[in-house]
Amino acid sequence: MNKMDRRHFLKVTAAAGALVISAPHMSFAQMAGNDRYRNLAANLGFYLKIDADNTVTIGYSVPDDGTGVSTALPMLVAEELDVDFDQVKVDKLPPLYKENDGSNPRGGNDPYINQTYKDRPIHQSTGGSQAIRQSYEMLRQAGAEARALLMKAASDKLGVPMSALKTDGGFVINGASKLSYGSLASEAAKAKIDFEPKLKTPDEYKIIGTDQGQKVAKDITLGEQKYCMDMELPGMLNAVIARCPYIDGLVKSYDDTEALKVPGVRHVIRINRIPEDLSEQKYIADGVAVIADSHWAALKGREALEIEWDKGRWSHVDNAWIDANFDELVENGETNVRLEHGDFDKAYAGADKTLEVAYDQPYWAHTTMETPCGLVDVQKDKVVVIAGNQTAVRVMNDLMNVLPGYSHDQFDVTLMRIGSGFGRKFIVDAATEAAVLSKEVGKPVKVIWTREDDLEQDFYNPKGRHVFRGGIDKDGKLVAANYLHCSTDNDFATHAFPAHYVANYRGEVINSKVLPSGPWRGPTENVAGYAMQSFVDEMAHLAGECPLKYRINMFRETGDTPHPGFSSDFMVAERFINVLTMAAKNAGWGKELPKGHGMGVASFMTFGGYAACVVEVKVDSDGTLTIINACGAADPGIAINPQGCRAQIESGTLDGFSAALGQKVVIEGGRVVNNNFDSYEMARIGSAPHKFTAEVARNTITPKGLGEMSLPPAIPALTNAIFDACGVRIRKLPIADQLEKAMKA
Amino acid sequence: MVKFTVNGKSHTFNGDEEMPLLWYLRDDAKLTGTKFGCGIAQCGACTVHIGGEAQRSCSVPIGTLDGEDIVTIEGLGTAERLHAVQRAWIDEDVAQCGFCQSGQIMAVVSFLKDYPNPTDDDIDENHTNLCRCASYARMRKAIHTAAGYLRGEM
Repeated sequence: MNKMDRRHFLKVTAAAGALVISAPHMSFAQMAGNDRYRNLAANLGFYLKIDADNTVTIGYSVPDDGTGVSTALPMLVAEELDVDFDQVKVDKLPPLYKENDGSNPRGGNDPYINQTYKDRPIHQSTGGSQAIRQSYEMLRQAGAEARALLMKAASDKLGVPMSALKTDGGFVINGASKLSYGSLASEAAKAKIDFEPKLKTPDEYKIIGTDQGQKVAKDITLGEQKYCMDMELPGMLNAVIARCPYIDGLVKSYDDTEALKVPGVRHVIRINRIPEDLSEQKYIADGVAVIADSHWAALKGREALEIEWDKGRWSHVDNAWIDANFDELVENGETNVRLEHGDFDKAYAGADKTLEVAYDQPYWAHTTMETPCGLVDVQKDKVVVIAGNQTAVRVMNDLMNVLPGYSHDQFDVTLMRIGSGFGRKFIVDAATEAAVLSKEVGKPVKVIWTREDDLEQDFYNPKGRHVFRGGIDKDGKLVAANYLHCSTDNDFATHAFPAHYVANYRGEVINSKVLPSGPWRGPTENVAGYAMQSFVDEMAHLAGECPLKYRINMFRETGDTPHPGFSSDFMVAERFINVLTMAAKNAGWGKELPKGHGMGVASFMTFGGYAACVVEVKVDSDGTLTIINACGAADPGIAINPQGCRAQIESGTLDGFSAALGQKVVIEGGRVVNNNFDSYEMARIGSAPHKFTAEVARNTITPKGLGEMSLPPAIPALTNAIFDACGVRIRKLPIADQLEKAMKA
Repeated sequence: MVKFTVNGKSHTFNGDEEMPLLWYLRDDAKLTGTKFGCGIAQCGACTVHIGGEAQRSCSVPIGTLDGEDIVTIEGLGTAERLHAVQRAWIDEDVAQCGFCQSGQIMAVVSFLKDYPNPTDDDIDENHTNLCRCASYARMRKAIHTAAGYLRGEM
């Protein structure tokens, strides 16, 4: 970026004696003579504010759903600003919005491209492990700009050249004397610099790379942190919606007589499926909303509704039907070859030993801890939105779809801290429902989903069948591999390791679609990791080799390979080997294990970040499984907050175990029936290993992310360990009671 | 009419006595630190203390609470005087999204009264709250740390 661009991208103002650096849309809008952003005038972009009392407040633009961006992003600014991070306050900033100006070939709803101005992304989305990588450069530039202005102000005040000044911990230092940033704030806001401040090199970092606790930890532990579900607006009503539980079903008729008799119930309103076209995936379910003074009254009102459902075209569907459908698709479905090199058929025919194997994983639900929720007040000339969603622009776009006549500059959107996201909160359904209902009743409406609503109406991680054929030569080397991935969403799986590490490879996909699906922590990679790393493990065993050495040898022999995909261009063999080695070392790979114990390993690259996992388990003679030890290692590039990185390694790993151990969406008669935590099995602390080591690589490579990376290798490391312990290969998830059954047999 | 105390203050309730305590706390008393997670006492996000015992408030009808003393996360500690469990939670940096943590903390406070020196197995058997972010590794450490604080070791 040249100097002109950057000067235009940051806006420097003085406000009540404070230096405020903000970016970028106000300055852009003003430059362009465009005042339509005026309603957002108070809404600075990511910013930093230095008050006269030396308080430094750093805004973060990306909603935090628990991955720690509200701490890590301000660290980037604070590093270049050169302040003591303990003294920094953080503050959530309102969303920005830019209408698609036609330059976005992917259309108006693209949440990433919409948030750019020319080449400058204004990243306001959490998901795809993107928050850090999208903000790494820009936030450091903002900090450097502010520091330069403070030094210029000090230079003018003291009459010494800037080159004679230094900064440290929120002070400009001139020999033995020092001036606080706060005392320079108002002058700095008026200062001008005619050079581009130089960014630090990684060896100069004082904050990046240090362990920092979450800035919000105290608020959370005191119960003071607010989420969407905790918010109110004056005159607000509460809504609970009876949504059609049948896949693509509709309301046939309903009787609200009894519901309207429940004290506190004010309205019963029909809410229509979006989109209307039943061949398209549901976004808003067909249903009947009960609106009441309190959430409890609305719940009772919903219980009193009598609804006859049109069960739709899927009412015969259950898990067995879906399994049979996958059998049929794999056997006779039309395949689409996504990646091919060498000659698989010839190499497979000529292989010394071959293996044909299939893995299967079920639909998983998100079960975000905070169920979907939205609070909207549709006024005549303004729409007030309080939401807990992952992407700012999608909130406005989706609400504009149901509120024709309102333009984006009439929206006042507050995005709260998210009570976990995992991809589910990309979908703005609860807030959309609240908007529809608020418009109808003319008052603010809060929609809270019950857990049953959440599990019945989710956008599930798609079920998948993964069929492999593999062949090794007489030296045990994997020379032929064919991967057939049958699922709803199969953009990436076929390209993952070992695709480029096998001379004769064909990766192909077949599409299947039953339940509505959407992104779930590490979309596609979450299950590709299980399938591919189980396959590699089976091939290592077929070759009679150590599963760890087998993998490392494959990386060593082939080296780096191209991997054009979401946020990645290459697979770097050394980074794989490094994370594998870290995890293996921490777990004591190769040591003698007690009887009944086993160890498994796996590694995977997700969205440009590398992760490995080694797990030790114990399987008793009755099939009881105990996870003894887990060691996760990851290399996301430079670790901004290593403590936060380790939290994500722990979370991704244990979340993976939870999914693998018991999670499965159960469908009967065309509807999801395990609709709460008594029947949808999620791991508690009792399933977590007593020993856990998380290690993040230390390097200075431009960062990717870490929110999703540790889940894909965790599941196969666990199932590979189970095989090592007892010889049972888990080819179908969840593990559930498979070991008990197998050990009995 | 039901009379009880919440965090030491007297409350009187006139209304639908079937309503779970959770919704009284959140919607009437505006104490939103106590969270809704499942509504069927499975996840523990709504855990409060009733008569000093951890209970899942989503499944306690308010009509059963006459004369009871209720403590919520807001009544546990303050920013200046954190409870040992809150202190341990911050020191071990447990929370990720944080939504379940009020309930986790309330449950652990109660658990540590019965198990002042808990083993990992004690924790496994008795602490059953769900954390969707699976912050269990740090939670386990924090429980041990909190037990140490409560025993006066730090």
